[in-house]
Amino acid sequence: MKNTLEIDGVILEFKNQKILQDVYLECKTGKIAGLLGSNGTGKTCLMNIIYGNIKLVNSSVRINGKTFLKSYRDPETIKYLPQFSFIPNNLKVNRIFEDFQLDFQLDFLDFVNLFPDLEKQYNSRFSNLSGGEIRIIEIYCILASKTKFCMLDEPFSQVLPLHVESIKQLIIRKKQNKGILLSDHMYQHIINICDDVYIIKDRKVHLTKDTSDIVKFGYINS
Amino acid sequence: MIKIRLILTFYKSFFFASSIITISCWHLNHFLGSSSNSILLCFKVITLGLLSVYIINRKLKEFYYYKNLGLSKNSLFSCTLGFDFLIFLTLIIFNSSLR
Repeated sequence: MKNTLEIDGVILEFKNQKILQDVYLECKTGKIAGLLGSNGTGKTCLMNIIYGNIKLVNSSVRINGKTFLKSYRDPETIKYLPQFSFIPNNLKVNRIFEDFQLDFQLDFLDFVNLFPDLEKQYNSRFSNLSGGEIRIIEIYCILASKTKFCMLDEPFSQVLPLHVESIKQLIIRKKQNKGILLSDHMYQHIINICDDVYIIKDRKVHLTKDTSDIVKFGYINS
Repeated sequence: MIKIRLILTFYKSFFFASSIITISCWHLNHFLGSSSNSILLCFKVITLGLLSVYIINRKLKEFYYYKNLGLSKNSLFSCTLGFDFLIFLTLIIFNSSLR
């Protein structure tokens, strides 16, 4: 089934300073939507609004036209990878796979195929892993678990370039049955894999047509 | 089952501190008698409140883990604090029944 995630009507202010207004963003099953913007333009805030962590009276977050009335988000509907490590570091990798209801036979072997150097970490505690390894496991768990939409905030940061390619491969594969919203400053990766690229400029969200639009909005030089 | 295990994982993060408070209250109640019930009850509620504030600040990032697995901050706190307070009440009632 194809699902559609939409957000609009956002007016976000901090200390009487408008951060976001005139927002419309759409993400569909089978598509990857990318979100670009300079630091402090509200990319993470927008993701937190979608995820229900920032409550606004005037925003409308909908899935298949049905508006979320509460801040709770069903994990089978949407999952969110924040830009920092969020898994308790006293847990073991196998426990995390179990919590995300991932199968050892299927999912861990798929994980090892993508990231062979992490094969021996299945029984390791998170506290014994490097920042990059932690990030990879977090990204994999969010993308591989059963959900309609995934939001990934800066998935490529802290990660080895070799693993970035594997992550991109995984994202493209997982979009077949999910809608994925991505945000990262590594814009070339975003442009490479995203079907739609949005850019936040002057408090508004703009849907770009091609790279020249991204240049026009001053995010990159020509 | 997964949710219960997640709640226990969260509870572990303040179980030790909370247990020390509960056992101390239980001992005090044993020696001071039922006149101390209301003071100890207030003390327990205040310390649970302070522990919650500490946990919210210390584990702020980890709440994303629980939320991604279907447990909101409110449900985590209501389950763990409710259970912890129930243990406290059970011990106080047990003390009263011994008198």
